[in-house]
Amino acid sequence: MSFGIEVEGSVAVVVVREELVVENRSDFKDRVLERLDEGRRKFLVDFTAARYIDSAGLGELVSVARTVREKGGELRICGLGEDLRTLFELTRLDSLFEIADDRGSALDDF
Amino acid sequence: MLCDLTVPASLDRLRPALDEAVTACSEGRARDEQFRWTLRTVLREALANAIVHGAGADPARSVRVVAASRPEGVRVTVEDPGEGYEPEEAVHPGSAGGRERSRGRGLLLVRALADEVEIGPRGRSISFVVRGR
Repeated sequence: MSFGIEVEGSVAVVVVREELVVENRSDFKDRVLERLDEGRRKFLVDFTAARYIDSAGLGELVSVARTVREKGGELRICGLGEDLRTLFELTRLDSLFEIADDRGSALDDF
Repeated sequence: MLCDLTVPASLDRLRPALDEAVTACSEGRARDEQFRWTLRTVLREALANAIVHGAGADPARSVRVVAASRPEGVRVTVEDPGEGYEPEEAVHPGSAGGRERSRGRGLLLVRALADEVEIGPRGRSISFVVRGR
């Protein structure tokens, strides 16, 4: 599985195990929307173990975050390495998402 | 010539083609991680765009990847058999109000990361250069 879901209190942590790319973005969307349908409203996407995200993956993040927000929830991000952070900055998505350095600090603040 | 690949337009062929092209283009640059990362990032965008939007993810159609070593760096061209589009029509997702668009970031990344970018007539091909250290 490309993604794991770990529940931490009221937050569903979506763990990106390797990459979020055009080939697996639908799986990512399905995993989040399943939890949204179950009533979860707080989502944290953890990229600590991920090494890559492409433009389709970035677009899916934007789309899913919008859906979560429309349901009264919020999607945040943590664990971006240097390369992934560069991609967020180049596409200016670093200012669209709340991004924490690591899972611990993200959960403390969520 | 570093590589000349004809790739069936199927998403499950994207990664093998990417691996093969990046390996071929990295000959003599194995330790240049920045070069490999930049090449992989830009080529993934160009190839995914050609497969999905250019060839409609139809495995009966194919896209072509040609790479050659040039004095200015590695030059890669990706061609697709699609109907084409006017590149000027693409909306910049980093523009005002554009950040929340779910599409259009591929070309933005290509332009930001590659050292030279040239888009062919009606967007049916894209050529870019990635310099090493």
